[in-house]
Amino acid sequence: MVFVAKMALRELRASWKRLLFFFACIAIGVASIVSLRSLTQNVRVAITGQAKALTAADIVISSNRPFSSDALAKIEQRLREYSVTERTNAVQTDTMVRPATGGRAVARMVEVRGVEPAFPFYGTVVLQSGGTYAHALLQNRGLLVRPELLAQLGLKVGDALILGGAPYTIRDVVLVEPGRRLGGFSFGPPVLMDRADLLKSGLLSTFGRGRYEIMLRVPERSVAPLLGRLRRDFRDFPVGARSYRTNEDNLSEDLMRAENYLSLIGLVIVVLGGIGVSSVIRVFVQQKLKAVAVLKCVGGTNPQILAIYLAQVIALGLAGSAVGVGLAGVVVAWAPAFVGNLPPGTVEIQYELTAAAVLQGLGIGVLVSLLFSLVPLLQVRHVKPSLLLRETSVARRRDWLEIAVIALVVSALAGLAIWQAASMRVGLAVTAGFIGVTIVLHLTGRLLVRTVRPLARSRWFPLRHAVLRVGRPGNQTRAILLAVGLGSFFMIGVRLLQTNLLDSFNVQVREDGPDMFLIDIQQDQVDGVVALFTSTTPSLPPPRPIPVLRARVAGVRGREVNMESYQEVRGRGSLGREYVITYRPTLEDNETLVEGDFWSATNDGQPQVSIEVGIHERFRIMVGDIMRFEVVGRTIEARVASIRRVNWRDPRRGGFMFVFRPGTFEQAPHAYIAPAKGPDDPSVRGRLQHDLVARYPNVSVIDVSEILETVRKVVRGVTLAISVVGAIVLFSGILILVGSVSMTKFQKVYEAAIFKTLGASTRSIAGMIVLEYGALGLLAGAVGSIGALALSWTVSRFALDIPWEPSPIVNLAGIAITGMLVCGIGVTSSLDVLRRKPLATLRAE
Amino acid sequence: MIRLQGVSKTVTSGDRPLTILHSTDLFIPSGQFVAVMGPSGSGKSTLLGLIAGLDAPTTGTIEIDGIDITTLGEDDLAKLRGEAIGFVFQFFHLIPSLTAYENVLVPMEIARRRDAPRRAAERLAEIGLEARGHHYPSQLSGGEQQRVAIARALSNDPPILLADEPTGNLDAANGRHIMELLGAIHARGVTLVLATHDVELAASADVRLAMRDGRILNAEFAEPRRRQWSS
Amino acid sequence: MVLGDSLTFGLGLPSDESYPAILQRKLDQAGYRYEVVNAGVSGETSAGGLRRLDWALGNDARILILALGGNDGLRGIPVESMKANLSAIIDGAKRRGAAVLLAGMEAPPNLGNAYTGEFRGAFREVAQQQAVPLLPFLLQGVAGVASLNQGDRIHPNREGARLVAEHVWRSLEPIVREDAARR
Ligand SMILES: Nc1ncnc2c1ncn2[C@@H]1O[C@H](COP(=O)(O)OP(=O)(O)O)[C@@H](O)[C@H]1O
Ligand SMILES: [Mg+2]
Repeated sequence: MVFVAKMALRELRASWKRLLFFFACIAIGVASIVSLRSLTQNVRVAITGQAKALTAADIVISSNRPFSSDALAKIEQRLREYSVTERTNAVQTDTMVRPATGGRAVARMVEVRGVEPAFPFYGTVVLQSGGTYAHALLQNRGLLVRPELLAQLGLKVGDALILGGAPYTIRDVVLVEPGRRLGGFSFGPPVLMDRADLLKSGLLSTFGRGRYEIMLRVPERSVAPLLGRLRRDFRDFPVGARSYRTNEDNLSEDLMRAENYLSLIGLVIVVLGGIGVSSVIRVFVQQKLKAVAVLKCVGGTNPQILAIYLAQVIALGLAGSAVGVGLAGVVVAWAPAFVGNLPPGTVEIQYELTAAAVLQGLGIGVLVSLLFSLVPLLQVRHVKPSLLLRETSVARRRDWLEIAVIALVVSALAGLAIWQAASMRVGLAVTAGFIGVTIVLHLTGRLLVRTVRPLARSRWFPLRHAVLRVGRPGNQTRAILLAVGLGSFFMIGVRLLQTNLLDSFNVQVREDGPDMFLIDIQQDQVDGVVALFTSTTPSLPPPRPIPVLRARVAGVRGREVNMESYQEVRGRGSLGREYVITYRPTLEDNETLVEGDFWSATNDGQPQVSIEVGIHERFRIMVGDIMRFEVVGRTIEARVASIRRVNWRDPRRGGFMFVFRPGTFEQAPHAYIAPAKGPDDPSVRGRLQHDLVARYPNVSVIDVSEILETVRKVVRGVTLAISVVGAIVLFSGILILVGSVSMTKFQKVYEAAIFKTLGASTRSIAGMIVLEYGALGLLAGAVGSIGALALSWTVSRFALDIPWEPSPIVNLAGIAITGMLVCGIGVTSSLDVLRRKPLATLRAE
Repeated sequence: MIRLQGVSKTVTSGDRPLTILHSTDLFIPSGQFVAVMGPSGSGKSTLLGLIAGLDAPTTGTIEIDGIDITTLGEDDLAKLRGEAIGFVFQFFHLIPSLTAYENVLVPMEIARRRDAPRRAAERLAEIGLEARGHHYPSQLSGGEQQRVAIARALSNDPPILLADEPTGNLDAANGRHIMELLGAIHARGVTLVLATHDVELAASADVRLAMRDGRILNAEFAEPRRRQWSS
Repeated sequence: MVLGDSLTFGLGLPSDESYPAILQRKLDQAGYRYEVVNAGVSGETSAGGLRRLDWALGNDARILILALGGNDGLRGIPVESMKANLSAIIDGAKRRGAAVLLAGMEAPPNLGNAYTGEFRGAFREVAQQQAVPLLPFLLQGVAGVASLNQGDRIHPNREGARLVAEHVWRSLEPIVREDAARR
């Protein structure tokens, strides 16, 4: 053991320069994984804080009626069991408010929430005045309201508002309020008041509709178990429980996606580093053959010699990882400048290295060094000491040990992938892709040698020798193919994934997307509503009203649809539920046709309907089927003309299960809904909403601009982070490829020098190199590119759950760039030979 | 004691089998100095390599001090070499990443000798290079490298020393120096097998074997030892 | 013909257990040959009802049960606007020679007494002005009773719907009898 350690140190002392690249690969890989991991953990901490701020508590128990004494007793019991001591109650209801004096003499519906002094457990109430929130503001009949309510009623802070028949004073304006459910369906702006006042107001008497909440602060480890317990307790009661972690909005889903993606990227960079490591070790072993033979000659056994090199690998891996951690520290320190911060009013991100990430990075660095060196190192076992008597190439043989080691390495790699990507699916997809591409590259290498062999008879010197070089045993053809193919596989894969992921984000943050929804516009009001918008905001695209009707499916193909049980009705699992339908002549941007025509040129007068692919799959309704619909008291038979797929994540034009061909319902009474983009200026916005409701009292406005803005800001930050990380992958990947390919030059340089001595012109040697490396690069790029397509598809589809679109440009560019890159490296790394006098090179050998 | 019985070596180069050592019987008693002579390509290195277990014979058995080394596995062979056989190559083959001292030290370390550092220093002194121990092979002349190689070969006091054209890459003066060293070693009772095509070097050997085309053609005996040779 | 919202449509109920479906069975049992058309549409407000009156009524509607306004109340739509819509609907029905039974609704108390009072009064005023019979509150005896409603506390369950049908039937039967006599 001592000998092994000493020997490893002596060897390292002499050869560390040659292993610098190894070192660099590990350092880059570890730096990426540690910084990504730290950053995602930092962001996660911030997001958790943010999620808590959105919920204002760890767990919220809610009911649409006052808690019964039984329910309360049960809750008390559970709280004792989980030793939860901090709780506060809240209640929320819709009510009408109107100015006490002055302002406009109109009543407005608001969503009023009554809270106690302990509110909120998390997050802060941000006030327009800049003051700090305290419950005292609400006491003695105080209200906090939203700016748009003031605009709509023509009031200001300090004015009085009649709520529940009693006057209240508006104490301040709320900009951010924790605990209000995002994306809730509400007809009025939020108002905050004292819970006791609200309960005393009489609004919540027996028939009053309210939402009663108990908010809890719970130790972190108890959140999930307590939540599960409460949900089981109240399964059959109208009592619900949710935690800050309950994913109820797109935002947290997107963040999860981003996090998974970033973990995946960390893994990919590490694997890229591993590929570099394996290239170095291959060359390294080649250079160490003689030393190994000598050791064997003087009594060294295989286990000893393997141990000597493994010890070096571990030492280098450890040192490289340490440098990587240092690099990660720098990256993390710089991160705020790149990634920016979340919007104000949300939680700050603390950027710092986390201990867990550092330990993981060190472990992974050493593990990857070992895994990727092990197989090439096994070759030393085949080194024969007779090599010292005369030059012989080392025969490569596969034996059981090597196959066992490969199996071990692959499973360790799969384990690593699953662990790092935090997902079985992604881990397996990456590993399978890795193995698949490796095998294909091996086969491709063989096929290439065989197919180009006839060209060896070519008259053109560079071509002839390029072919000869590719086919020579012991040549680096396979090493280049493998390194470049796998490298391009991962890089192009990441690029494709990034494109798809960002597309799916962008859909949600389009600035011109609708930020308010008008519902229940009557037919005769449509023109007026649109005109109101165009006169207020001439620069914005006018709202496009969508006709909507309600319909119930009565039968399909003669099969009657009836809902057998309450459960079916409540679970909405049945086709017989009520659907909102529409009609229009063309597909929307968020729809794609799966089958049939939308609409066919011929129209036989029979009503036609297009169904969503989900309906087609769930109920096996086909194109050509006849469906019967009950539409406001009439029955209509319509032929299924097409099947559409709706991208539900793209909210621009909503989504409909059934879309009819125009011509059927124009005469039927129907209302319109209109997604609209409102003015950004809040006062203009408030005025528009006021005018709208004043003129068309039946029209209700649901304003989602604030939710959208939060989503946009976060998504923008995440998008930037993903792009930056993508660039890092590309950069480090290219660095590693350059290194791997130029490692192969040693042998080539020597040959080139001999060719030159024998009178070959610089041009023809360069031509030879260009042909050889170019062909290898293109081939490896093509294999990698195809693999990347499969990888990105699998990961998009099964892990990130985002729609996948091919992007041929990325693929083609990937192949071309790979070819050119490899070619360029081949030529540049041989430049000195091409330029120098051949003798210099030969002597240097 | 070295005994070869029916040892041959056939290699396949291209598609054709090529016998580079035809069936050979040979007995070398302990303490003898045998010179193997013949032109380049006659099979000298092949023979020495087989004796040292650097390569495996196609047929026959090779006994070293009573042990049939053809039955040994790679690692056991390596151990045997480390302890019982020293080998000196024409091209020195020092490990370039180690200093002269370390090159001598390594075989002792492999053999787990406690006194390795002291002995390595002694070995270096014997070859007159005690002052150059910290130099790397690339910093030594050919003759110096070969002396280090000899010191390395002797580091575990092997009873047998095989030298394959040790002076082939050296000028006359350095060659003589090496031969003096080898002579001194033989004088200590070490069995010495020397491959060379230099008649002068072979002159002092007890036995001179002449090889050609993979066969031992004849054996020439120095007078006093004649009776000990049998075939 | 029952012109209404999700209460009439029977949201959350099998289609043959909505109160109009039960009314149909009662008519059949009593030997009247009327067909009940359920023109209930979820989420419908009085404004929407007005606009689809023509489509729903057709030419042969004899009796219109007008059960709208619940959603106006839930959304806090100004009472004046609802009154105008209801009146217009009744006008339309009268023009077609259909008898009208106006079913009153209540706004939930959480909207405040000012609004709920005004809201309740609206139905009385419309009934008086138009001289049509008024069923003061469609969900009389059902609203607010947990055992008669679904979990959302708005929509009656099977049993609740049965009670609503009973309740409507008491006001409807005289009108049917009169109408049948005229034919
Ligand atoms: N692995 C091998 N493949 C083909 N030919 C070989 C191999 N090893 C040795 N030879 C041939 O065997 C012959 C003997 O070689 P060698 O023992 O090195 O001769 P010497 O040492 O006397 O110069 C030479 O002709 C050499 O080319
Ligand atoms: Mg030789």
